[in-house]
Amino acid sequence: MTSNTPQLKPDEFVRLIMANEGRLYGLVRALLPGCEDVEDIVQDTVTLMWEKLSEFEKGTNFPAWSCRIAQFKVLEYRRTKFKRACCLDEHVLEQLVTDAGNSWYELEYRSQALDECIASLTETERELILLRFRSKGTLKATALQIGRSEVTVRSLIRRILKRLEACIQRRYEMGPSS
Amino acid sequence: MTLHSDSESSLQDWLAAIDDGSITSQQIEQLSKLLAENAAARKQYLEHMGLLGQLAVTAKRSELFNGGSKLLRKTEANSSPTSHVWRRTGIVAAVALLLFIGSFLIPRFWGRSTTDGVAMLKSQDGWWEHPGLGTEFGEPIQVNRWLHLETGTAVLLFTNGVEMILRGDTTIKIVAPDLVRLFSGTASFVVPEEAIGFKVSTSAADVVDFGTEFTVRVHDAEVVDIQVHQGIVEVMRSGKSGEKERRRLKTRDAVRVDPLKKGFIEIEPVEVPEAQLEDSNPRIIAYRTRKMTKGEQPYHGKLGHDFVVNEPIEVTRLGVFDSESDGLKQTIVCELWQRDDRGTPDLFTDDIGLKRLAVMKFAPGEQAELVDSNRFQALKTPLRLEPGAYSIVAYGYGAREPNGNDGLSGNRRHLKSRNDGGGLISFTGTSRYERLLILDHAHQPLWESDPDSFPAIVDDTFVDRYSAATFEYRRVR
Repeated sequence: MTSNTPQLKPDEFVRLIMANEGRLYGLVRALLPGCEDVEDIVQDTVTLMWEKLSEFEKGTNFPAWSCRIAQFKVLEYRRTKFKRACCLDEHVLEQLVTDAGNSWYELEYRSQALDECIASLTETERELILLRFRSKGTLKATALQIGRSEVTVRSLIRRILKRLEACIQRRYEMGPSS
Repeated sequence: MTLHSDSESSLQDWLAAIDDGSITSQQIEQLSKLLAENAAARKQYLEHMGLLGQLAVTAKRSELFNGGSKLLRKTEANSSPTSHVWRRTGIVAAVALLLFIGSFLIPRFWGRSTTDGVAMLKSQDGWWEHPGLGTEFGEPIQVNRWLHLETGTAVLLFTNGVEMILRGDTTIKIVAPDLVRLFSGTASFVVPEEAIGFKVSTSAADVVDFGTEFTVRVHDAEVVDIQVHQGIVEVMRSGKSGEKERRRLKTRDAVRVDPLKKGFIEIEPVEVPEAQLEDSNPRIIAYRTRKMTKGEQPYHGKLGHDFVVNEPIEVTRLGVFDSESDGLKQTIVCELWQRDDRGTPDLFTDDIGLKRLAVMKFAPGEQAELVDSNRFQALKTPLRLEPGAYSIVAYGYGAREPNGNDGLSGNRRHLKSRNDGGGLISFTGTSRYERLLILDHAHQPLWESDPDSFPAIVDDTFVDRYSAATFEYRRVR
């Protein structure tokens, strides 16, 4: 890379990370199903992206670049820390990373639709779903925190997720004012 | 590739197990096999995980800005060891007190309902950092509201008459009608006599006003500079053992409070950029979208915003949104319409387009000045608009040049700004669009916009929902 290559400024980098953070979380979750350290891995990914920022050329494919770095961090995590006996096949990881990079903007649109769909939930539903999926949140902890049984919370969460997925799909398929 | 119902059912089970945290190694092995073989399964899997990822980020940000979950707070309160009777008595008393205050005292002394805001945005030429950390024209700002102005300036007017000028990069929280917490950045205040006692709090010092104009700046990890432009303020800093040190400042005094140093340090007055007053009749851009904003909707038809001219103006340039500010890839047309509100100015569904007053094409490669995310071309002669109803409209967006659409939740509102020229115009309605003609062209839908039609369908939520058309104007001299 030459010194004339346009590079991201720190504030541009932060803005890109803010805008893409949800999809990075999603990708790491997808590559490590059932893993509870997703937030740490995303943070490690962002740190590595920051260190490698000079290698990223502004205006080129940010999704593909960030997906590759996330994949690298996931593989590193699997080698060093992941205790699970069975993981997704490495070939599947490669396919998922490629697919995620290719459908990044569709996923972005879905993320935006999600904001609208969350707004359509009742306050209690919204609080519950955000409580469940906050950092290190688990079904058991959520059930304990709100004083309901795990079975009840599981059923409530499933119902809310289904509604959100249907809502996102509806918005995705609709026109400008939907 | 499609997903058979058996595989679909298994995938749903495995996704549920992942969500629950109960996925087994055997299930992961089966999932891996399905994902390797089936692209539709991978798509569905990535979409579901994307949803969970976005929920995690939303939860994280919501915790940061709203202080966590009410459900959680409720249960934490329930687990307190306080005796049930006393807790119940306390709650009843608190509710009764709140009802009493809410129904009787507040309207009596403040002359407004408790749902009214304590401040409103007066003007803005900068950008908020995040939709949840910004505000809009006409929106009442309630207490406990955080604001982060990233660049430029924004002026907020409190109901008690206090004017607060924020200069980016600045973060504040409006704690009460007469109390603002400044976390970082620069804020100036003009406090009228009736609001004497207005307080600005920072981590290192508090500033209490005695009828004045002053600026507070928080920088370098909680160092606070205070400068009085006119009048008197009192600065208080707390010592380690809780005692207060006080210092009165008068016009042109400036001091620094450094948490790592004792007392008040005399400093040169803080440099605050003066408002730009060189041009007494500046050109104003009505609708702005922040530079580099990416459009996300390939809608070919007409997208419009309604406005009302209150005093005669001259429109000097028309503009259109350029997704990512990287040059137009499709021809976009901008139209300025005179609108007939049919005698019902607050009902927009019966409005009709009376006359197209100006039309301008923006073709790829043509010279058009970029301002923020909009490309502008000058009208041959400025177009005078008399008081009345109008709409600004654009069409021609598509896959290569998408328009912006703020949707219902307004997650892109921090990328938008409007300027009413101090009341020369008013922004009205909830945006409008044109139903496209769909022609069956060899089984391929062909989207066409009717150049002569006025976009008659009224949309929801925002007066400037789209990033599409805009214009530049000035007061008629």
